[in-house]
Amino acid sequence: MPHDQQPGSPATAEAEPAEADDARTDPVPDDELDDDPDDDEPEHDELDDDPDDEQEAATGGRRRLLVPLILGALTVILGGFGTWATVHASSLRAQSAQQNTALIDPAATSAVRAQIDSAVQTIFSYSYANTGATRKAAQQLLTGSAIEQYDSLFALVQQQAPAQKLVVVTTVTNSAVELLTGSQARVLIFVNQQDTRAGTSQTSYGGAMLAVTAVRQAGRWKIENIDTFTGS
Amino acid sequence: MKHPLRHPLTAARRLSRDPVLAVAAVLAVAAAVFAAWSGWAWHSAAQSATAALAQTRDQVLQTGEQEVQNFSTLDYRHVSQGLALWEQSSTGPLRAQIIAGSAQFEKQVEQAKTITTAEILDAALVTLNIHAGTASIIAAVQLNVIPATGSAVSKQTRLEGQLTRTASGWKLTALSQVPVGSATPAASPSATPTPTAPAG
Repeated sequence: MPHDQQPGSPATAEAEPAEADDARTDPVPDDELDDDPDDDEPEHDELDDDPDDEQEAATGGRRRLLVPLILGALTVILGGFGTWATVHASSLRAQSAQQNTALIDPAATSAVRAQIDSAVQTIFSYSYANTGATRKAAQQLLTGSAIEQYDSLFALVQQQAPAQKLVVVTTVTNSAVELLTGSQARVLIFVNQQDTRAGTSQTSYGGAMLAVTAVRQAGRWKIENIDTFTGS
Repeated sequence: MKHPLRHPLTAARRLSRDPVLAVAAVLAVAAAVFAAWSGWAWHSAAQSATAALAQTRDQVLQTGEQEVQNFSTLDYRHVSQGLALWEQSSTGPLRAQIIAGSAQFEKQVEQAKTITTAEILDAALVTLNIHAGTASIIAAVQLNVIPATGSAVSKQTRLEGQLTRTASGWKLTALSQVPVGSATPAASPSATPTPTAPAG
């Protein structure tokens, strides 16, 4: 083996140019020739470093640090991207939770529509003989400002209906969900009202349009506000 | 071997010998896994199909509202222009009705000398079938009618319409007033060019 004969530094100095020459002049038998210097390399290090221990520590330490440093930088870059993407993904998800899913979520749309249609029919249908029943049922279907709104309206009904012997049947003819998020909805509703005066069998019809704002409480949609478009 | 990591055996040996390198490698792999996972989460959140559907729904509603408003507007001084807009806003049976009745209707409105303008108070889609290209809409409309003599009349009306997707966008195929009551259809003043007017 040649390295056995090269205990000194001059020998290594010779070995390097030889390697370079081989590569230049003889490209074909690369494998054989290249392998030899490669095999020699650990020995080169040892031999090189033998005379100078401090230098070995310096180059070895540098190399030992270089790879961890690259890996550290990669960790920082990938971690940074990951954090950025996570923040963006969660904000997008928060946006879509706030997004209007009317008609896009058919099941939720039908549910809110059915519940609000039924609630509107209930709270606006009454018989002079038992207005209390309607008022009581309404308490379960209303929330927030709608309670006050309804109470002031229904106080008139309770005052006048018995004298007029009025029976009112309210039917929803059309309804459509305009806005639907997890906990809020706005439904546009057309109703027909049939007013009958008991005894006289006089019947009159009327139509109305309402925009109902609803909130979801404990799994049920409750009416929070009723807009009758009388403001404008 | 110039690179110490090129040989798996050497790499493993070096890792076990060098705790700093081992920790750095583990952290880098963990960061790569985290980056890949969060990148996927971000991508899937950004590409949600719901967003595209919501955009279509809003666009159909907006178009429908505009077309309902077109149909609720007519000025006796520019009847043919108004009817041309009705024609543009409709397709199928509704468009056929307008074309068939336009000459007579034009005469009626010019004699009545009414100007009708409308404001959509609220509107919403009842149904939307993007696959079939159909939708239905309801609209709460405030009509303002200025007759030839006397003062302007403002009234609210409830309209329901059907929309169909065509090559040039969503168009109304039907539009009518929601009747009040069940027994008799509401008698509407004939001189008022409500959207039901061409239908008779």
